[in-house]
Amino acid sequence: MYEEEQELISRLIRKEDAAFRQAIKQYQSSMLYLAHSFVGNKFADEVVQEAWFSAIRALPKFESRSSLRTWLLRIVANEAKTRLRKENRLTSLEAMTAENKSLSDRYVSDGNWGDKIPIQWDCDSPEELLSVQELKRCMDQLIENLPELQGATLNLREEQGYSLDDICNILEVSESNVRVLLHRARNRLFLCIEHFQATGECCTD
Amino acid sequence: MITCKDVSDTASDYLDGPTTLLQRFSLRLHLIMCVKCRRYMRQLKLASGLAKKITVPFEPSDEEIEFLVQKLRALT
Ligand SMILES: [Zn+2]
Repeated sequence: MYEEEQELISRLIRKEDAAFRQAIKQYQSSMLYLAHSFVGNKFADEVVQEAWFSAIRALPKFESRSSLRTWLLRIVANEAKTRLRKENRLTSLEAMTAENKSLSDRYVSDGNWGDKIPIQWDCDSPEELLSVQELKRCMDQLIENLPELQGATLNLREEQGYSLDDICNILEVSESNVRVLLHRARNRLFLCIEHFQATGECCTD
Repeated sequence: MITCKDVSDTASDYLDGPTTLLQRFSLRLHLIMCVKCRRYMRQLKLASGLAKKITVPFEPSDEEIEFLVQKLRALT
């Protein structure tokens, strides 16, 4: 695995077409996926293309402290952040890690649940939940609109299955922040589904 | 004894695997006794697993790959 990667890297540095092709096949979907959670559909392609340019230029300096995949994703995250910053759309880390009031308000002062306890959902599996078209659409929308680092951590962790360590590396945030971001993102999903279960309406409408 | 709010604060960590033994123990003990948090925990896990299922495929087409290869080749 390690040797194969080293081999691919040398061939990329020599700018072999076949190596480009192989690398794109291997990493493009993961990169697009991450870019998408930062900047949405519209700009994901552009961000990933910029990321490839930066990566190929910087590759001779790649030190193999992480895997090529993690390194590429880190470049994607940086390109995406730069883009959002330019457009003044970068959400602050404080705002993204702030406590979710609509959940924390449901606990009373002694730390127990108040009157609004979690309602029982009528589903036992994600598949069952998503079989309801309106809820599926609602979840798509919610995930699409999560603050960028919440969306990115959720994407890397749940959809792409990366370890917390890799995520810290890719997003350049501390492990405790990764944990908080995941916590916030998951609770948003939880609250939105609960809202749907109670009212039949989407939380984002 | 940890409170329901404490459960909420550590629930997500728990889903990501290794937390400290003490944390796991106190969380489990609380869950045995508290039906509300049991429900919250189960449904948080369900909500979180749902993200996996919303996957949009992003496989690049052959044309897209060739287009990008051209661009990378042209890099100086
Ligand atoms: Zn409880």
